[in-house]
Amino acid sequence: MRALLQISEPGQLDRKATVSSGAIGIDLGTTHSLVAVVENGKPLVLSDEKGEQLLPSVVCYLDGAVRVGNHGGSMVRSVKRLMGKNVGDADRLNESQFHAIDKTASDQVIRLNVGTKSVTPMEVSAEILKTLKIRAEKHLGQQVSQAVITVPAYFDEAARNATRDAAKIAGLEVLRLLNEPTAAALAYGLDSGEEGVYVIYDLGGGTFDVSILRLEKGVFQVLATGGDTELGGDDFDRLILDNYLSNVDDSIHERIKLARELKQKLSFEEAVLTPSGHLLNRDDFNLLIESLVQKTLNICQDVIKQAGLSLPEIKGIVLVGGSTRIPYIRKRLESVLGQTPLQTIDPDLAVAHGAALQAHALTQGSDTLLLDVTPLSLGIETMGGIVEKIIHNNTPIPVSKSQEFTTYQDGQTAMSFHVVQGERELVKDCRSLCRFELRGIPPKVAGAARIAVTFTIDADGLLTVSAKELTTGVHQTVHVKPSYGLSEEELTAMIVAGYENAQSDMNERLLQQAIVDGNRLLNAVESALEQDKALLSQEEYDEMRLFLVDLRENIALKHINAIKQSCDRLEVSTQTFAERRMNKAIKTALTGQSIDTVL
Amino acid sequence: MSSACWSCSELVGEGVLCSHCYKLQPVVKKSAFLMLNLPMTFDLDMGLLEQNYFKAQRMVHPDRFATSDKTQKLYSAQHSAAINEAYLKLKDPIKRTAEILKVEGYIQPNIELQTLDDPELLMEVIELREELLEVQTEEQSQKLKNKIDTLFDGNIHALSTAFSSKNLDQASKLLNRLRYLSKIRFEANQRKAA
Repeated sequence: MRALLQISEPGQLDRKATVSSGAIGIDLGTTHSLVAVVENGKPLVLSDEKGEQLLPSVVCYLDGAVRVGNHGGSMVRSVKRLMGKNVGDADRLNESQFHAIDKTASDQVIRLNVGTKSVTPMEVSAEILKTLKIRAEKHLGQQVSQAVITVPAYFDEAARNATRDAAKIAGLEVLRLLNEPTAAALAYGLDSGEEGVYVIYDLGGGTFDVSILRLEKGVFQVLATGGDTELGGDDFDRLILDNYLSNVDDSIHERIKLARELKQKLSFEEAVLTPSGHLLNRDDFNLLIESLVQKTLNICQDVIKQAGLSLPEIKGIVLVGGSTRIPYIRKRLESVLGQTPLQTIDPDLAVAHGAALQAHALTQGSDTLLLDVTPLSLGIETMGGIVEKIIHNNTPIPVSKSQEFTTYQDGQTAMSFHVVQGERELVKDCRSLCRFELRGIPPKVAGAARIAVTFTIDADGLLTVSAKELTTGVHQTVHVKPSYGLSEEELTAMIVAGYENAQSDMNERLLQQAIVDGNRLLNAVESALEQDKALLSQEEYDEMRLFLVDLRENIALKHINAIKQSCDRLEVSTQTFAERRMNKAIKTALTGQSIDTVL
Repeated sequence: MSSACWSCSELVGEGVLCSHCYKLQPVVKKSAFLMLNLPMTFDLDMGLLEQNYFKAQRMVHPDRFATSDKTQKLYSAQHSAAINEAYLKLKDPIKRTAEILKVEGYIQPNIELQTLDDPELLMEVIELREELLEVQTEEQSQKLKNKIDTLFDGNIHALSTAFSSKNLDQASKLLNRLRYLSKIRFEANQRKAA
């Protein structure tokens, strides 16, 4: 687009550069997902063509096509609950009641039956991410390849890895996995300019997080975090379902939808009527959810204690997540923490806002400093199935820590390690992450070899483990990938498949790009004509106007090849014009200046 | 000490960035005090510690290098982790004491709980443990915890005095006592939780 560049006014910046870097913030939620960007320094949540900001995290497979939202067919909802989980976890959580889990799949990766094929939770999540990516591309008029994606603070290693894999399948580079309460605090703090210690209580559709943050002069320091990744609004829906809707003759999807509607109504009304004519009032509902709410409050109190704080030191409670609209939760929080929660931020949008702000900060630079912690302890199995913790929970990340181990048999030349995550003392009560073996240890008497095991957690909260025999330097590094996650080969295959399915997405994107380019050319030529019409003969002027009309029409028709052709024709026809303008500009610049200053 | 920048090969000084090409340099091992640009003292200004911690993180945190090359990303994570480690060391009186003694060359690095060869301390620990076992009511538990807290604070004060009179033998002894007190305090808190 040489002609265009010549024709633009000097100092007039390329639109792409001024709008945004194209890095987006995504709140990948259990029930809803959102995408936001930063424009003019402010976060903006993007809507679909109907003006909806919240994209239901529901993926529908129908006749070979995949659509995100409530579109019928073979539907997968709340897939976030399965992220990083294995088949055993799904059984334990009774998820098969709500998900068509493929029982024939032999490996540990969960597979879901959708129509004629079976997909992993990562692929399902990738569909949601792709939809949000396209939404952002339409808005920005440019390709998007980088994103900050939020995850529950209490997500473990496996779930974080699964989220990153989903992003890869969707063609997104993860700039940062950002903890949801931290994202909300970022949005709240930058907006209000408040300082002090805050409790972020985040109860979403499927997960619960609580983080204690200190906000101070552009620093967001997480002091402690806790939560439950298997507790959220979905569980309240399921309680209504089991207790009041078990007789309703409808599909599980319809019944869940109904339960959710009843729950939401109860936040505004004292009582609602179930389809079977039963009156469900607020007190009944509060009784149903009481023990789950108590669980969240216990976690809150525990985390405050872990942060070494007492209640009077807490300046405010920030509520995040749709479930915090339930009046009973607000009431209980108020009585336990001794203060009224703040209601200054939209609990649905705060996380997406924070994600967009962080994406902007990471690509454009910022004075804000975010210091987060690792939510769960990491350790190594030792004799007797006991966990030797190497990194404790609530340690600031990134972190790198080593511990020395030794051989326990004479002549031992190999040592196997079992990496686990969790707060409990026994291996069987913690989550197993991976096993690996260090070989080539020089045979010595028991206890003579010195093996240093180093755990490194990066800013995304992801772990790398390395082991080294200190006397010989035998070394091994493992990027921890849970045994029931995707292998590199599987992931690569999915990314390739993603590209193929994305052909239609790609066409859409190319069209949007052509439209943006076309409009830019239109504007540039029109403003140039306005200023320098005098440089053209009537014939040249008419021809240019004709091409302009032609281009405008093709843009309106959204015909990609025609737009490109019109652009090419217009560019060729404006080349001479551009040269004349350049000459004129140089002449103007030189007029009245002495030869000395010019040379 | 100067070395060549990994990127532009110019000599780099003490700074974390190359003064020629402004690229992040690898971590140079330093004491926690030097890492956070603080005077080596037991009576640390905690406000200043926080301030310098944030200042140091601002320069090297991975969020600053999210779009940089692989090498700088790696160094950024390493710097940031080293600063986190230094911060945690200086914040905790036990680790801070150990760090000072280590810099002074007094005890070996990585030394864990030492054996109880101090008969006076041995008696004290045994008595506290017995008291802990006898705790039955919430009131008793609180009373014991207050007692341990008082002992702990007294020990911190004594450590401060030992360091200001440069009595490292005494400091080492007090460090040992502080470790035991800290352990019993942890157990006392756990008991209440159970």
